[in-house]
Amino acid sequence: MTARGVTISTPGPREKTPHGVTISTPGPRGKAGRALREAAEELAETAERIAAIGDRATTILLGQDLTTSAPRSPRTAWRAHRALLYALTHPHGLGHALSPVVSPHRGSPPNNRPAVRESPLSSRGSPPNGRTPVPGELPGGRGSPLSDWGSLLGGVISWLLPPEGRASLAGRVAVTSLRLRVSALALSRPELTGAIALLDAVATGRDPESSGFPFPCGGGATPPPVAMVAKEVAATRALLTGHPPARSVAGSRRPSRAEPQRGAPARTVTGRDGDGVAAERVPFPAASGEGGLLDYLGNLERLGDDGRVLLQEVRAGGTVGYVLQATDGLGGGVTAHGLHSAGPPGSPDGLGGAAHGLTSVGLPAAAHAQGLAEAVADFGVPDGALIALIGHGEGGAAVLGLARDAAFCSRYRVTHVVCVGAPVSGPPCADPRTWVASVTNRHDLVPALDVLAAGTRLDPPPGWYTVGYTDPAHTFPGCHHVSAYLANLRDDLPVTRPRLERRLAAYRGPVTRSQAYRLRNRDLPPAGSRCLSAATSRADTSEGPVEQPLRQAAGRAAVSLFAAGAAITIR
Amino acid sequence: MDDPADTLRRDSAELAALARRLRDLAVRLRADGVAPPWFEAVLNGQIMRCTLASAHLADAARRVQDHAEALRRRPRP
Repeated sequence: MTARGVTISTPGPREKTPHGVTISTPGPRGKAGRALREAAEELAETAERIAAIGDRATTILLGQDLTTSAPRSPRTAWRAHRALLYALTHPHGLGHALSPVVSPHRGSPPNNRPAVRESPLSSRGSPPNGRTPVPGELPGGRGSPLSDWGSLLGGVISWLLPPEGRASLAGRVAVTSLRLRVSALALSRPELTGAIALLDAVATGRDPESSGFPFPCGGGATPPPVAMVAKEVAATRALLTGHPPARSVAGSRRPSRAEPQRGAPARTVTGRDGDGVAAERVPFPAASGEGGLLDYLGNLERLGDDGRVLLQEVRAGGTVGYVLQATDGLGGGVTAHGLHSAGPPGSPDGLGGAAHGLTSVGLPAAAHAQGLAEAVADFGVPDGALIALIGHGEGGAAVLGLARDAAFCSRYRVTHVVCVGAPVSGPPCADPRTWVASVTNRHDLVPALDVLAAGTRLDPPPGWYTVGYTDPAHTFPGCHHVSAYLANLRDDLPVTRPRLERRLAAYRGPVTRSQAYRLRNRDLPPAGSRCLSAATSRADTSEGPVEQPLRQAAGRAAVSLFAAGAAITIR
Repeated sequence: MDDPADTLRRDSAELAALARRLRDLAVRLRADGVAPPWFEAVLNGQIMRCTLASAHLADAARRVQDHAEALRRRPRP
């Protein structure tokens, strides 16, 4: 403990620093805890394999091979369909295992068996959905008609099934893995003894407070117990209810790409995917002229959390490096549903925006990466240049998304990613040489939100430098603000800060160029509107061109019109 | 080139193997004396589900195989 009571835990060994800060290994210690965690990992892997089996059976059920050949032998086709549907929905078997999407990861059969590419039932041997699958991909990948119909069928069946039958066997096994994780944690933290009851309450749809688990939020010498199991609670809910979608996330090493099983995707209805995120230059005269860890965090503090990013060119010794700094609140600008969160730092609005941004089936992450890459290109970063990515909150999640982007990492050399107060679970970076650090105040609930994203693993990939600390002076949401992280790194983390600074030595020096950007949807909101942005399209009518949907700057009501005047026709 | 019936048969066998793996896991944790009180009952239920799902997939494999053979017997129009 430091003089201010700051306690730090990292994956490293327990040690005392000269300043009295305690660095310790988090989680359960001892043989029992280790055995439970290993068992949890094994169960998570089992859940993944069961989910992959459901994926493959779904592919066969919904594939065109079986469907198109049905008229030639209706009776046998009907029996095959019925048997597959029975297997994929039986509440005492696979449960509701109909998969709306077959991803390359999930679809890859275990034991290095080759993926199913083609079926002998196929009359012409062509891909069932009319396109050539990428290597390792099963027919009917994301975005295919098969995927969409699978989602629709999954939604209908989910609606028909009783609530207790909606969870798949894979989801149940994954939840058992989560319960073991919590049990392992409770071995060394007695305050978590009631957490299993909390998970059960969440799993059965009861009010979490009925579990008797304490729900204080900050203010003590230790983080609130619920914060320590927030990921497991969120994952349990996601696994068993599909809200947000995450069927097999418990400790998974692979990302899931599942979509919600609640009806047809918007893409099926609208026929469009949206136009992505654009980066536009904005003035920011307050950027620091010096490059260094605290300078970069200071820039983030001055930028605020309104979704801006800053790019700087730094000369360190004889080399030139580039530093991308992303603020919290990116999701407020470019969430999938288009709402801008306009709340002050750490406000519920901002947090809600963060949560939404992180729960939208990967769209914001991809959209953010696209916008950030556009800003980097506009800044004139040459191909192959060294670049460090630094982000706070959602900005941290966004820069990690960029570091996971293979195209970006093949163009630039992403050397470092430093995230503060950011969710960092999920897959590793595209470039295995990228060094990743995550600094988290354990009072801060935002880093726990990542598990809400579809199918991310609960822990960061091995090898990442993660630091968690507690500071009783901070309560959530105040502890999430970048100012709090800046103060902690400056004053309370005498081991972590020098380590980060040493790692970032290539980016410590005078700043020769700066430019700020703001990310925003290409689908512009009406002029003057802070609230609504939406995907739009133009249509020619007998009265001239109109933009759909109809929008207005004033008011916040959503109006849907389903009747058209007889005199107006859409050509 | 895998045919769907083969895929289903292999997946049926894999589910049976996963059931055995879960059973081994339960035995191991019990032997170590670290299994939480709720664990064995929960896992037993899931082992049963794996076993039943394995049988379901084996049946589906047979039905898909029957369909493939029926197609082979009928000339393409």
